[in-house]
Amino acid sequence: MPVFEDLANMIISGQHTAAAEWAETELSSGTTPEDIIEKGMIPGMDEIGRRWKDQEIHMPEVLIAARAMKAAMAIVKPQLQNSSDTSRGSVVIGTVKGDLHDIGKNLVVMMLEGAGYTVYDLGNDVAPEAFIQATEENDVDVVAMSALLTTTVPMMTETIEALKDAELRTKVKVMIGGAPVSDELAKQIGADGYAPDGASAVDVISALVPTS
Amino acid sequence: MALSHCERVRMALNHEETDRVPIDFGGGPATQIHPTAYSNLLKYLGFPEENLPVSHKGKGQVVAPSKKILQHFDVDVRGFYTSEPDSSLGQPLATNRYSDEWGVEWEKSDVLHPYINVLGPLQHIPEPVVSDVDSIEWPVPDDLGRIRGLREQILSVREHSDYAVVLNLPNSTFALAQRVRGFVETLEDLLLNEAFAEALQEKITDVICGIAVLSLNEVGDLIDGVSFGDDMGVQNQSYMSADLYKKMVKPHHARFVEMLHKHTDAKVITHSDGSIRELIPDFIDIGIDCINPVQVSATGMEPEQLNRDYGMDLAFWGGIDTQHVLPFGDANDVANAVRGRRNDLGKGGGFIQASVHNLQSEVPPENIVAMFETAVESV
Repeated sequence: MPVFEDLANMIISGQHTAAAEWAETELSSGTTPEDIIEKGMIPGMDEIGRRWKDQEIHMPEVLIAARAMKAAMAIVKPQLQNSSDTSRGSVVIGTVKGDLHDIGKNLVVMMLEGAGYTVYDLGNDVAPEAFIQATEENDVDVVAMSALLTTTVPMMTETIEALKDAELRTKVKVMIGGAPVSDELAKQIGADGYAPDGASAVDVISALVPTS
Repeated sequence: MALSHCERVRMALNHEETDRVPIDFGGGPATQIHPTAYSNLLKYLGFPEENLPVSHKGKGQVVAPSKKILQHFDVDVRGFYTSEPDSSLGQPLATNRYSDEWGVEWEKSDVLHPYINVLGPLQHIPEPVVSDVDSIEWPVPDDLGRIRGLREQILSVREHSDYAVVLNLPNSTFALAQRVRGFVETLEDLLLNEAFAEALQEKITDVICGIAVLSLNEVGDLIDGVSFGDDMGVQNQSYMSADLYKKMVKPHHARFVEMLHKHTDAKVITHSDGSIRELIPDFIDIGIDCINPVQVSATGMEPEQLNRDYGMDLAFWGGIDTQHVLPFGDANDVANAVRGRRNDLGKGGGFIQASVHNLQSEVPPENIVAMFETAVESV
């Protein structure tokens, strides 16, 4: 009987090699990839998210945990029969056009993947058309945008307008984040949610996307 | 009797109350202004266009305000920089992309926005070892190009005016490690690859100490402040815990700051964006005299508490919010922020007012004027 808590603890303490080996051993002894993700990896990253939100840990601890989670995921993912069965929802994400600052966005991606979401990361400097294309091509629940420069904040409004023009706005939820962004701004520009940091992004998205 | 500009800044750095709060505009790399906002400011004031050189490198896309503007607002500080070395390894790479002397590649999305660093020379080594530090070419610290003309420039200000002078050194250990090795990689190395993280920071500190010694031997006797930047915070917490900072980064900062104090009597100012409250006791411990920019919109950076807890040991430089108030507030909001900082950070002296970061293109000229005019109003 696999002790999933061991994997969770390896992720929490950022032991990427041990986490990958654990996943490999368990897969070969018949544990399903779905169980490894749901009972080992997600609880591990959930705990990291909680500790980060409560300021018990800082970026280095979060980053090495995410690295361990990814190392285990790289072993497990190819064995999944149908990855959408384990996905809690899908998110298209990027920094808005003109903004190359992607550190915060990358942390959000890590936390979302760790929480079991499918993430289409469009990177940085993402034009409204690229958000639309990715939304059209994938079965997307949420479009997530971030900006660090105050100058590029208006690009969030433009992207939302473009989603409306493409008749996609009613099909997806929109979440925004980034240092100059606020809950108030989200309401003002017609976004559905705002998250101040990577750990809260998971909470906001899980409220926006009901798990089936 | 009104104080001279220089006296005002020196007294503030010494935690003495002054006739008014001293002000900075453009005296450092993070208190400047975007060319569009600057042009709007000139128009608003009825001044002719100036066509100042735009700094395109580093976090550029900014101009340093002209003497005329500094005099108009009665700005107390004049900032100076080391120059590019004669033998820089840096070069243009493509439109909107270049590498600097550390081999770090910078890119911007278009002409309006600042460059950010996108690739470092040690970034793609999965598990680096100590010897990898010597596998790349490092800047030559004592290249005389760095200080050419610097003494003459500062002497000219000293002889013809009474402004306070700050020497801005290039970035410091951790910022450079993150550029050379990558942001994420550097933070991971602190926990997963201590030996390499240690060797990389040691090497970088050697280089920047060399640059600082060269510069301070040249102008250390002429300056009131020596400033270096090393961002250690994000919006809601510092990059790392105080324990990890103490173990992995503080010794390098301590060596650098000790060396600065050894080569000048000027106050040591450090620039770190973000929430850095957790690390402030260590900054004080290693001899930092003043912090910039006091990002009041970040978690734990509430000005009143900062001054109450650390104002005895630390001076504050900055404090006027650039994330909400200056770009999105009105002139009244800005004036209130200025008065607020005068009362909290300025209480008991020890405060030099500046915008928290460079004024971005959309900051209205009315707000800029309100920031400076409120600062010099009689109280």
